[in-house]
Amino acid sequence: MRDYLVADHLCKAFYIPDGQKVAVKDVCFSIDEGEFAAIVGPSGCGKSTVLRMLAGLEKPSSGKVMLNGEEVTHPSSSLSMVFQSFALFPWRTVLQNVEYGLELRKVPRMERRERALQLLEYVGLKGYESYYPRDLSGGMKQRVGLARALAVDPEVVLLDEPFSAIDEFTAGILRFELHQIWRKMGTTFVIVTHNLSEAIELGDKVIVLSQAPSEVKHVKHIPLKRPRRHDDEEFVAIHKSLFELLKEELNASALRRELSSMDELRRLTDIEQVR
Amino acid sequence: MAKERIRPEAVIKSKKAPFKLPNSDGLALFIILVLGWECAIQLGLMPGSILPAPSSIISDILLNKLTDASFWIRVVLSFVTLNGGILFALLLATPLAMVAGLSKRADSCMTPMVTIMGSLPDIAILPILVRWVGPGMAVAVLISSLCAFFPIFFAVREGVREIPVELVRVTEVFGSNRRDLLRSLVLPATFPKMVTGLRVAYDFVWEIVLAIEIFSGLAGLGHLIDISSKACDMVTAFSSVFVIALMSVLIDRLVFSRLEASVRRWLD
Repeated sequence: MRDYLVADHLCKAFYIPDGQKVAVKDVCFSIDEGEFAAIVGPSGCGKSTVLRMLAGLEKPSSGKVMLNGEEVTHPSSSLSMVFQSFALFPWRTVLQNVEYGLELRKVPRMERRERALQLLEYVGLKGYESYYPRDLSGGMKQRVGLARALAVDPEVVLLDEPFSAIDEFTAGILRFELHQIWRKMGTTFVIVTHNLSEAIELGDKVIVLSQAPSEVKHVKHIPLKRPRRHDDEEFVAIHKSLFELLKEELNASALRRELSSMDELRRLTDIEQVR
Repeated sequence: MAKERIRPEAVIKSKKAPFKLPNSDGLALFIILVLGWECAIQLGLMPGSILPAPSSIISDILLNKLTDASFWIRVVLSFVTLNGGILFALLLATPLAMVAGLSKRADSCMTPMVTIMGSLPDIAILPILVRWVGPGMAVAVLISSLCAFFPIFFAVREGVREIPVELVRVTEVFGSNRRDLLRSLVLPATFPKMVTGLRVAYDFVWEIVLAIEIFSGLAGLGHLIDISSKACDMVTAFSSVFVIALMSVLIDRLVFSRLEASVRRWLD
């Protein structure tokens, strides 16, 4: 189905002590059913805020999120989420963590146990059922987070920088596995990341956000065959073109402005010294 | 918190916290001190009427106190006052602390006042409460719950405030209502702090229970220590102290050690 998940003129303003800060100005995009979409943007551009609005965790100041023709106003049972910090409950074992969503949705005990065990095997954590999160590595924790998100049979899986707290080597493996899970399940995935290669490797389309207050700067469809290799010629070309876009945004960002004004100051003082 | 890492396999097998003896060095020093004490009295260096020998305390407990119903009633009364106070405090402080931890507004209303009241030594208002309520069990339970309230309140409040926002989001994503949030997130997340608060509360409340028993002549172990000391029956006074120490150790070993071990299984 086309236009399955739609961000319709999303705007989010936060209230801060001296007034109002607009984090997300006007974000519009649409994602088809079963598509893997990636959202990238400079850090602090409000990409995670956009994701939280998609999840119904945060109310947009204006605009709306439509899922399958219906407006998303609060977290719905067809959406689930994977978090950057894994967000596992430390007092629950691996198995109990995976069961969590099913538990809240009143799935009978035996059924949810069976489903959780099945998913743990699916993400390669068979044998770790009774471990507590503190005894797992970052990569394993995120596998649990993924299993927990998939256990509730979601129609859309939202991933908020899922691999940015994991070492690059493990992240590469997880990325590949995530891609396979997505292919097998056929559900809609939306990943937010600041890693451009990750976005191009995984996404059917890459949505580039501008710096805050953010808008959609560009939507790039990635026509490459899967699984994608980072050293592929076309991959590199796409990466380069999108990187140019992101760099423009970085150049415009407040931090860069500050740095360049410092450069300017230095240049001026240099000139004075020459005189 | 102890940083000792326990292997998960080992943890799963040893579900029960074993009843541990103090380490051998500590035990050795304890035995030496008790033997020295015993010798000092047997050799006549110290009159037994002022400081009874350990042997006479033990034999007094075993031969006289164990069969003395009035002694047992005192033990039970002190124990009930202590735990009644703790229980009331727990039931009152936990929900209030959770509200304060969850809502900034409630916190700014409540916490300054609670802080001021908590910094007041509880003994100060003891005579006033006795005047109001009258000397008896009621005032003892009242003052002990007042005394236990503050450590539990502040510990639980801190526990709630330390809950990572992402964990709240997890419960929201899976569509939890307020009850689920409380049951599946707030209660387990604050449990370690609650145990710490309870442990502090127990120490405070033991002191206040004994103080009120002495102060208002309420039948309990504190009162027994008071009257037997005044009547120069030092053996009974020391037996009571010994039983109090034993109860504290038992509560620590049987309740808190186990609770803390269950938390240590998962806590970082």
